[in-house]
Amino acid sequence: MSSSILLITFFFFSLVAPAVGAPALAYITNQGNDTVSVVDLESSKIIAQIPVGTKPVGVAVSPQARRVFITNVESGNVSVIDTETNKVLTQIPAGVSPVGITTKADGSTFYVADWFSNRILVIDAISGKQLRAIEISKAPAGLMLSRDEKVLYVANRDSNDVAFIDTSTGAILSRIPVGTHPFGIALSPDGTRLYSVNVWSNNVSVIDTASRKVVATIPVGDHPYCAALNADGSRLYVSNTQADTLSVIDTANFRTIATMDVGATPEGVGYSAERNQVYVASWMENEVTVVDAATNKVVAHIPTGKESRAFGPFILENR
Amino acid sequence: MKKLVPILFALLLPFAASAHGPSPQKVTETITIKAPPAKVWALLSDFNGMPKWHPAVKASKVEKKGADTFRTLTLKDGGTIYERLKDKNDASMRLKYEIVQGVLPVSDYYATITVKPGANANESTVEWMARFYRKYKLNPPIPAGQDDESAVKAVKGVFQPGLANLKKVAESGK
Repeated sequence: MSSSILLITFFFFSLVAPAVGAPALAYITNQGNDTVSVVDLESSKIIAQIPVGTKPVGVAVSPQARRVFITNVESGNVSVIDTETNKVLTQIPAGVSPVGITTKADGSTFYVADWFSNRILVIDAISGKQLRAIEISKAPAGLMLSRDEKVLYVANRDSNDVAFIDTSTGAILSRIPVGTHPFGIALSPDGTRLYSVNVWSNNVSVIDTASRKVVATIPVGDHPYCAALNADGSRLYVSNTQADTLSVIDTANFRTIATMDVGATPEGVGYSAERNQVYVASWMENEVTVVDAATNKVVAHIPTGKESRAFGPFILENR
Repeated sequence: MKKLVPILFALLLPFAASAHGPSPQKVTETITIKAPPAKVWALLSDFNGMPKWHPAVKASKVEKKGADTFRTLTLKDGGTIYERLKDKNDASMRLKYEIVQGVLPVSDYYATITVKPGANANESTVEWMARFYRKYKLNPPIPAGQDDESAVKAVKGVFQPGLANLKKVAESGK
């Protein structure tokens, strides 16, 4: 009897506290001093300031490979960070002006949106070799992979669409018109819905990934930029760069249930399932604003580096 | 061969220097003024009142279009800047506006100007912050005067003398 209670207790704890040892980390790109701040989300302390290339923007993480990939838009390369040592292992050439980035879960291949050349570059993370370059619409920005990694989603800022690319052939499967100037994108945990954040039309387009159609458009704040979802996909968090706020949206009915002031010019948004908190990079305030997802209240401000951007899912957890 | 290396580097340098990406630029300027925040805010919150304190602004004309408020600033050198009021918050003493078009070599420009209480009741801190891109946002080569440095220099050229004179006006007896 007592042993079964013990077992149940263990089972329960394994559910609520999946973090065994290594705490979740946030990798924040700082455009103004060419660094990445590594934030320990348990202590809210910066545990490393990593020098990278020039004007870093995008972040992609692979807990499995223990790698973080950073795009440096003005040095045209990707810095590969070893998350065990928090040091740059290598810098891989990646086009003219890499902005958006995403990686396969195993960290073997990453995809880069090359802003000025209107191409998606597919790069082998081990050899650093470019495997493929895909011509795409104007000013590709946010990138996400489908959960089965068979489709790459691309927000094309200056052509106002989201493209679906077959990752095995590089063929463009679909171009879906969205709002004006799509920049950041976020994918629901079950992979059925893709959210495109449209900077100029101040809204979010909701794309059904199976039918490849926009099923809803959600009004948000002034000049929205990036988005993230919580663990079960029931809440969408959107940064509004010129309203200096974060919108919290109920994805069951696409209604905004809270809007809160965060550090000025909020850009990248990340969600930690381990902590049930939302992290927002503030470009103007040089910080990360921490929001408790249970109460939708700001609970901390963590100074990072100059002009924090953190474009892409930047939380490393389940380590 | 040894002589060739520096020559090759010299050839590469102009390309490296011009390889700018689409990075937003930031200018932040702060000044301490020996005047109560309410007095400073009264000057700054008047969206049509910039000629009262900015030495480069000769005239201001405000117009309403629907719910939006715009102003046309005429500079002493004859140039104009057309701006839209984004937000005015009396509680936090903060004004937000954006440039629609004008003579500054910038694009997608927006700024906030905030009055904060200083060290004592008769002191204020004013913070003026802007985010913008250079005028030429496309792929290099960038035309002269339309690069990041020119954009930052122009905005600093507005902020610094503006705040210095705001201090003079606010600290004067009136």
